[in-house]
Amino acid sequence: MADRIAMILAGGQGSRLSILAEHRAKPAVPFAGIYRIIDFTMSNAMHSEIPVVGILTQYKPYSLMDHISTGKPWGFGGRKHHAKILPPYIGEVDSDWYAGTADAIYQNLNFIGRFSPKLVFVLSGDHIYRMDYNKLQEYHETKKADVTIAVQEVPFEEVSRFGVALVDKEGRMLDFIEKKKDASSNLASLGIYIFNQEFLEEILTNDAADKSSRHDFGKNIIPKIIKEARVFCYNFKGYWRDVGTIHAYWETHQEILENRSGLDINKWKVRTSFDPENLNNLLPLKITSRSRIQNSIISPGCIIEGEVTNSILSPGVHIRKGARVEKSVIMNNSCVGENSHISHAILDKNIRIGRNCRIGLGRSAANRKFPHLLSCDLSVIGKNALVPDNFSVGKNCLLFPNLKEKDYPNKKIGSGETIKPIIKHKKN
Amino acid sequence: MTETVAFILAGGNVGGYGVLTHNRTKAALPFAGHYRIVDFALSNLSNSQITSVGVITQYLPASLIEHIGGGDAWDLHRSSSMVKIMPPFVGIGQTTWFRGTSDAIFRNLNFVHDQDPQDVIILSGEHIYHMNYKHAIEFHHAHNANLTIVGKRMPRECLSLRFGYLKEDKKHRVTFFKEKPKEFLSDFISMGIYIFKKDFLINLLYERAESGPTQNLVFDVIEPIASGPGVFAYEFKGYWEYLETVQSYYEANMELLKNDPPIKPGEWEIATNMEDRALASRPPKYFCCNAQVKDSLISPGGDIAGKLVRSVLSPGVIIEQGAIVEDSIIMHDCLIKKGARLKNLIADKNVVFERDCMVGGGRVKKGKNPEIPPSTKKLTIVGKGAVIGEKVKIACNSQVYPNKDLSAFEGTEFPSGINIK
Repeated sequence: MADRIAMILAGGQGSRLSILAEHRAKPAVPFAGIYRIIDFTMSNAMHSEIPVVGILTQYKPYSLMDHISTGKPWGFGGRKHHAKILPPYIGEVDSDWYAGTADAIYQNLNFIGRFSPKLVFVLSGDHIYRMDYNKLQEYHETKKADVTIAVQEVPFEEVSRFGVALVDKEGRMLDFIEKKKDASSNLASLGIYIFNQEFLEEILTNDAADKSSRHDFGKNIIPKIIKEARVFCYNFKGYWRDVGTIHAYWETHQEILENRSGLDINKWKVRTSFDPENLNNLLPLKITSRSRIQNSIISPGCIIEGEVTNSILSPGVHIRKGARVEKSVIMNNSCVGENSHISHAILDKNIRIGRNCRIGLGRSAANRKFPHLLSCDLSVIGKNALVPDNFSVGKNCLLFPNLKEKDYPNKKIGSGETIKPIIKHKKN
Repeated sequence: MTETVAFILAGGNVGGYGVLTHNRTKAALPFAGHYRIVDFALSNLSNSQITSVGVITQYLPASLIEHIGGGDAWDLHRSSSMVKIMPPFVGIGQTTWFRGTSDAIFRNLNFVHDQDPQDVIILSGEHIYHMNYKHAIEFHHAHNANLTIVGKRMPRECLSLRFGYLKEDKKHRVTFFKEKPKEFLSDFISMGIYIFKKDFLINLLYERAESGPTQNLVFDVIEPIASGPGVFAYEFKGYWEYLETVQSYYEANMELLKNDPPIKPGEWEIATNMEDRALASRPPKYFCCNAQVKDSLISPGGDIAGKLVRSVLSPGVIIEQGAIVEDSIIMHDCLIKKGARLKNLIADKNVVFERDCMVGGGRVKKGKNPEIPPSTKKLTIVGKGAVIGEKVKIACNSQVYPNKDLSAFEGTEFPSGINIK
């Protein structure tokens, strides 16, 4: 028994995060040093004292399953508090894969039913925000709604990225428009819903029978129910970011550094799964005599011998003497060699940057292969890649995971280039 | 079958630490930022695959019990491994608490009987070192020893009257052993690590107990048989720090700031309980635009906006803009406000340094402080939860007692070498 339950949609492929989400589901992408993106939603659920959380996985779930495990870091476990990973399964009838967000919940109605909740939160595992779901619930109950959707005002130029709600004075939804450029409202849906359980079950069952539906909450379910059901919008004023693009991912880090986010990670106690296998998590941070650190977040186990400004470093990062890192995000166990200079870059885990390298500097030019992913003057380097001594890499470059010296055409990688490992096919 | 059962002695009421051990036993003192001293013994055991561990406690064990928890942090909480806290107890026919270390082990022999090991290793939880006990146990077996004492050769300037002194013959048989003598008797000292054949230990303890309850394991049980048959000395050659007083504790912490420190918790795989003081939910450290940090070891949580030089910070320490901290050890959740200046200081947990206070540093004007041992840096120690008021000045070699609130003493200057109670 549980009066309420949260279902976290964590299957997102995160293709716009490019190589950062190549080996892991988007909610498992590292964030703000020691966290992963899903920690923010998990911590919200914990602080809101929601007793049961189901995490719906799909795309490359290994990192995520490893990270969530039994949910112990967020206080789940024991008799009355559960966090369960819910992967797709082969059902009696047909599909063995979640067809859409609504289908994912539909296929787990049994799981929800086990706890006979009155209310079901449907949340997304890929947003950075701090919300007390109890406030959302209070609003929902005051309005006697069937479903309440959290919304937020966004700049009009950005509405095309969101589903947008039109509401009346009471907050009741009049219309819902998915990802159109000229919307007449800027109230964007945050992908955070609270449903009355019976109502949810009914609409999902109807939707499952509808062959024309793509089984998506935003596209199919919500537009269909506006007329007949009580659909309300809860205007959330706090900080909320979808970090689904390279630029948004980087910018949200910068906002946290500049304390514009109001997230205040220090006070809020975002929790993460500490992975005790990774010893770097357990070491204090070491700073030597020639280092300089300004406006940066530095995780345990780092060794800083050089200069770090406006950057965020995950555990175990080593910045060697004379190296300079600015406006960058560097993930676990990467190393920046002596006298190298890195600016506006995102480095995934276990990257080796040699000596005297220059990364993220040079003229501005969008990535030639993936202009839609990289045109904001950031360079991204994939997991386990090597940048050899004396190499330079320009802006908007995409360096794929596992690069070795032989994979580079030359020492100077101009802005907008993409480098992939050379795959040699064996001759028979 | 368990091959080796371990007892960690972690209950001692040691002197030489001033107010730092007013509320906790030495083994529970924070070390290297977010560790506690006992982490080293526990990690050594776990890394040596000795996974049945009893921890003998007596003096102020609360911090220690909380820290060890179920033993998960050291992988000592599985079907085949365990760590058991052994507090003193009274029972039918047993009307006293532990009379000492040997009495404590004697009264917890059930733990040995239950495991039925080949050997029992007894060691202290109060030392900093990295050791694979397997090597010593192999030596113990190779010599078919009843008892192996682990010792270390020390340069003369490092000797102390608190050590036990060993002499051995060419075959490593112990020919002489004296604990805490009146003078230095050799350069070969006991590290307080004893490996016993199980039956030998049990028989010995029962034998001793016949003539009334024994007290101290070393004086009453080991010393009388040390030069007898079957007692060997194994020499350990690595780094070992006894942490005799607050001075050596301070120095051992400062060693960590060197480029190639003798203590490498990372390489040594020293584990600690991440749930202790919510370490696992501490955010990474934030360095503000004005932060100036050099040669320091820093644990997560809290912001740094001031200046920090040659210091070790435990989790959650906040250093506000304009504050200067030099050559100091600052423990969990201390708050150092604007303009505060700290030097040669050890601050216990939760100390608040109000604006523009000055603590530590300078020269000793009066005689030495009777409550803390002499130290080269003329250390000042501030007890847990104390509040140092605005513009308060406390000169070097002083102590502020735990929870002492000096916020009403704005601008007061305290001379060196005093204890503020």
